[in-house]
Amino acid sequence: MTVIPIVALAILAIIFLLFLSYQTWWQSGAEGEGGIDNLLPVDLDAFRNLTDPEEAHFLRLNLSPEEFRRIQRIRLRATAMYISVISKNAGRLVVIGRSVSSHPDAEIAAAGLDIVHRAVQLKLWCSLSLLKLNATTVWPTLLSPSSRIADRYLDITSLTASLPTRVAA
Amino acid sequence: MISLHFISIYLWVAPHVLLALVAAFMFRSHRYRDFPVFFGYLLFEILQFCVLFSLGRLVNVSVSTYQQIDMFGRAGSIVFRFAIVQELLEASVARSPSLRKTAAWMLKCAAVFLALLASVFIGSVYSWNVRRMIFPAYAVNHALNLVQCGLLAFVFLWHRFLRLKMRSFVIGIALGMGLVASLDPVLAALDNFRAMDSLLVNLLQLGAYHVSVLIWLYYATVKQEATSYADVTSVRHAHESAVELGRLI
Repeated sequence: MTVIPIVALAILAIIFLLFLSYQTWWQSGAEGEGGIDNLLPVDLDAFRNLTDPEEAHFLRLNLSPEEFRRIQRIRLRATAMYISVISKNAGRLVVIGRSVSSHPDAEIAAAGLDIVHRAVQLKLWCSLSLLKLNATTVWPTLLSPSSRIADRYLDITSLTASLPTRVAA
Repeated sequence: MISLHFISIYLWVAPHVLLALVAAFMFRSHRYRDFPVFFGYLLFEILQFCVLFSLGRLVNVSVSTYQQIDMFGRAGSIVFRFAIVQELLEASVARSPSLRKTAAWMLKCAAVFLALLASVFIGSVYSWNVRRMIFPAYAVNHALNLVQCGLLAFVFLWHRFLRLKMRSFVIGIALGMGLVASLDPVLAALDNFRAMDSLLVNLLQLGAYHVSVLIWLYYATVKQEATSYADVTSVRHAHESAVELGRLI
């Protein structure tokens, strides 16, 4: 009987040490994933349409409750896919922002840092939204997703797009 | 042949001498400004060692007094280690007060959750004590070590989730702390269940701490590589990305 706790603790320790080693290895090569090749397309108009409360209201009025729930679940799954892509792009923007934040020009560096912070916030928002979306899928008639993520995404991409202008000036 | 007594004295003294070196490197490279809690922990450990070492050499100090001071030192170390985990988590978002608050809040939630899990796990491991309503200090220590491991895993996952590159020194601190925190409960369990000789367990615990101090020393001497990334390429890269993003939206 005494062997069980020792084995349990030893297995936990080994798993944790393997995890530490893997994370250390991953961190040593983490900077290389911010390339533009990795950016994924996001159709923000379609995303806004999916998260538009008026659109949901229209569907609710014109469809039977069963049909509305079915359609709304499909819309919610599509919304979740969009948010996942936005979250991934936000992660890449963090990497881009970090590389810019170490620029010798103080103004550009500050802008880079701003991009990092906004991208991190966006990523956290995406995670919370995905959690909420999972709950919404269960009760599609009670909750509806928010479209604020699209605005935040637009803000941060505009900020990144304005960077080269400042560099040129 | 080197005696076990000599090895145990070496494993007790050497890590603390190396800790002083780590503190000196941190002071010289001004890293103590970025990691004040870890720097404080180093000083605390050195002070604790000096006090205990001196008490051990004094003849008129009772065993109970020595144990009380030792216990006080261990409690202080545990508090410091939890504060260090928070420092590691906030290191990447130090310049953003709102993100720091978010990080601190998430860490508190994770700590409470992990404390519950660890208590249940350690309670089941030492169930023969729980039935007798005994709550031994070492079981609490093991539970806290498990919580610490969980929180360190959380630090790594937090950085990975946000795609934030950890500073090399942060990795070093986490690695060293993780090594000690994960091996301590295992070695203690081997000792408690008489699976291994107490003296050998003690030596292994000291050895693990020695290795973790060497890890800290190595990472304290490594220069931060982040600044080398700053050049024209990074802005051109951002420009290309911005163009690409403009196309995408």
